Amino acid sequence: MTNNSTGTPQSETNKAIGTMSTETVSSGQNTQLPISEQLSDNIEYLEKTFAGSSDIVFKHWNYGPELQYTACSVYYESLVQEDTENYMKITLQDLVMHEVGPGMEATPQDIRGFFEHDGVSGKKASVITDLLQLVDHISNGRLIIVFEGWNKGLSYKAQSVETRQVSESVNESVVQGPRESTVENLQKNLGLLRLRLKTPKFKIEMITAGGETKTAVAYGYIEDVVDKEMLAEFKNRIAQIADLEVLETSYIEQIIEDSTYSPFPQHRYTERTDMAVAGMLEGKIAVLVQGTGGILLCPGLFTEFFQSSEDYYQRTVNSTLIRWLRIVAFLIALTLPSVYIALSTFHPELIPTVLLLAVLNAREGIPLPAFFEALLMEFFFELMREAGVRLPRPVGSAVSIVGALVIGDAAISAGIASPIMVIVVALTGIASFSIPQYNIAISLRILRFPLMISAAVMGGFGMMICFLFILLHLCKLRTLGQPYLAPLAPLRLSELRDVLIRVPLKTLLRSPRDLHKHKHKPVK
Amino acid sequence: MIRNAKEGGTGIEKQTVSHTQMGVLFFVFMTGSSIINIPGPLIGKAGNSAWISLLISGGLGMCLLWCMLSMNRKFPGMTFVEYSRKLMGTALTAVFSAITISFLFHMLSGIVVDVGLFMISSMLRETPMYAFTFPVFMVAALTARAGLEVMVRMFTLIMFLTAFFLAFVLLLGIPDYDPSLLLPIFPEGIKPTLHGAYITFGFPYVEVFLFTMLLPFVNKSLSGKLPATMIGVLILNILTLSVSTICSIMIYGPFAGEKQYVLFALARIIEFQEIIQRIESIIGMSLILGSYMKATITLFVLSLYISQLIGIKDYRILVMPLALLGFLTGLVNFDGALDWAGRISVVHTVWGAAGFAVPLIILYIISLFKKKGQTKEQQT
Repeated sequence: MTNNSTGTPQSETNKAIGTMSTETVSSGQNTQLPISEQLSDNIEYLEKTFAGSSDIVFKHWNYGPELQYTACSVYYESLVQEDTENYMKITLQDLVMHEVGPGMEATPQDIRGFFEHDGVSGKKASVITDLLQLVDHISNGRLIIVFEGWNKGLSYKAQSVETRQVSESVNESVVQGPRESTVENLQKNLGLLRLRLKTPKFKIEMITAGGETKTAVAYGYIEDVVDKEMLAEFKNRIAQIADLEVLETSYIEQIIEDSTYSPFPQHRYTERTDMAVAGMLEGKIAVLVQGTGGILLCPGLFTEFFQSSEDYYQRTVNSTLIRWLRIVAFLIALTLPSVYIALSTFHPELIPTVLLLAVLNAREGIPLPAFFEALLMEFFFELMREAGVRLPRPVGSAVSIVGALVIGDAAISAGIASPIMVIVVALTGIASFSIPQYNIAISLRILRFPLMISAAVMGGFGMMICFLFILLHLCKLRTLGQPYLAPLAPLRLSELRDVLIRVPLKTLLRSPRDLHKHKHKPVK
Repeated sequence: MIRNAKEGGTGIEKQTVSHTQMGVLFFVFMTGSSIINIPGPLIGKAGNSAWISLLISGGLGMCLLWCMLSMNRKFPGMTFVEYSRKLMGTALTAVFSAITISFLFHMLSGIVVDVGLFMISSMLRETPMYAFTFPVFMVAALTARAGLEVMVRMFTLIMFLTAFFLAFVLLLGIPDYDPSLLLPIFPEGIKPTLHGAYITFGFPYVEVFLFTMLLPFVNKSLSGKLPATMIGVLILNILTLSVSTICSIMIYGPFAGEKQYVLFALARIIEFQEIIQRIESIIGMSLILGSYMKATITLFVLSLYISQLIGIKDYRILVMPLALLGFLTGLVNFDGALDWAGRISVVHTVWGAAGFAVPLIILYIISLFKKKGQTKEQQT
């Protein structure tokens, strides 16, 4: 509960960005319920609404000459934890400093006049006229004061839930480059992005999702760089989330993606602000969700899953060679087990004789055919990986020890698997870890198995047919209207500078990105 | 998804490709399967002068292409069926189409049967042929359904891959080439050469006809460059086929004709420092990929042809049934490799000429007269 900072006041966010008014808070609730002039009526309503939650606080105040006027402040003490400031006093002090005489003489009329005419106040307060809005503000972690004899309420930003500090990225670590990564606080994240993009062209738009969570969802893009048609399509799709409860950025991915059943991810995640900014400079739309650190970059094209932010911080030759390494890793992770199956079962003549003898020697005494051997070992490996991910960290290392024994030595000495098979499985695993984006590695895990089956059934021919299916799917797939395989298919030679080779930064940065990448020629 | 739905909903009209993409499609179609299938039988018939046969038949193919391009200029945005209707009327078009469609069917099943034959003869001897033809038809049908844009995107990638494979094999063969085997050019006079030209005209050069159905898909703004691209691609195709034929002759000499898949045999010979050996499988892959692409284009054209002939708006409905029909035709039609080879070298050309070349030429002549008639009318 304490870490859940879902309650950033929506209105605050909107004011900061200046795109929507406070009304969004009460969006979805059309009925107006004006605040009464009778304090007791209001309190009654609020007490009824918040009945059953023990962390709600009603604090009654008396003020004015001879303490004859009453007021009440309402807040969640779970959200307003630092109860050090007395907002009632601040309110009165505002009057003292600027308008009337000593605080002892403040009357409801003074307060009313002061705040309704936007008098300068010490703490940022907003005036609320609607009871439902009042409830929303309280739920959002704000402190509310209602006064006897005034049909409006004051709302103070008082939320003080502890959140995580900006720290080093865990999932996308680099040797060189900025370390900072996003946190669970939307405003902080947007601030980090704004810090890097000092232009009014960087637009951030806000949506509130869900009836209960009221999650703030923000999406940012750079005007003039982003493809207009794509943006319109994106807005069209993201409008669907208005009445869905969104807890994580990945919800958004699943709602707006083109193909739900495709094994390939169609959008990219990052928790690095430099990656997000680089993405937006290339015309992507960045989606952030309150309460989670993942930034979704839409659309994600196939070739971009091979890019890492470090590619641009290193020298060209290094980056290019590493890019190739990743492509090889991709191919190994996808095909190695099936190639082994196809070669050892159908096309032994293609293996050089000496190696073939070694393979046969190793396979001698293995009871299972190559396909089942591979399937079993792959299954062990996937099992171990899954167990390693889910287990609590202290126990996690036990899995790797046991796992190494099971798929390593023990399997060989028990005669279940041949040493070559162990090498194949291990290489596949290592290769799949070396792909910078985790979610495309998952799609490889899925595709590996149909490939293994087709290799077991039809050998090389079966694998080719399987590859044709995959390629056809990739060529057909679109993400937010863009061909997924672009710029490979359709082939756009001028945009291949960041695919197989990472051209020198001088060229990469100098040539107008917006012209190249975002004025799309008619899609072919 | 939304954009896809739009494309799918309105059918084919919205899909356009650029002239280079059409060139890629053309190259893939003309070269794909013929580069593996043609050299062997061709050298068997024409001997050392096989490459001259290719030049002759390629020249004839060029004439057909020229007819097609000028028809495309006269009737912009119209497929063969559409302008044939305009010039000859629906009834005559239907009569001529009977042969055209039958030959398209024969082509479709033939291309895939070739893959099956190859797999059976060189790799997996025990497997029944339908095990190979069925998956190929499956992928081809799905690709044809996906539409021209997807086809073009996909084939561009595959083309680079197969071109790389082929260049790789032919270049590594250099140490084994013996240029003296090329002589004498005409060991038995001119007749075998003409025979070779006859075969290669039937497969693949008469098949340029299929692009009468595809040329209207070229993006209007770029269609000015189309004739040059298409002619350039055809020349490139003739060169590629000739080079691979010459390379085969330089390795095997007169025996090249005895091998059905001579490039496959050529790749088998290649050995480089014990690192690169037994690379014939990449030629096998090229054959499968090439045939798959050609079958897809043929299936696409066949569906489009029939749908336009009988007035169905969306060709997609026909793709799957036609693929199944093609698969069954392949099963029924095929009685052994020898019979098949005979049919290809004898009937194929006549059939193709009757189905493809004759209607096109007739239409071309009609259009010439009509044009004259129109200009006369305008003058008076």
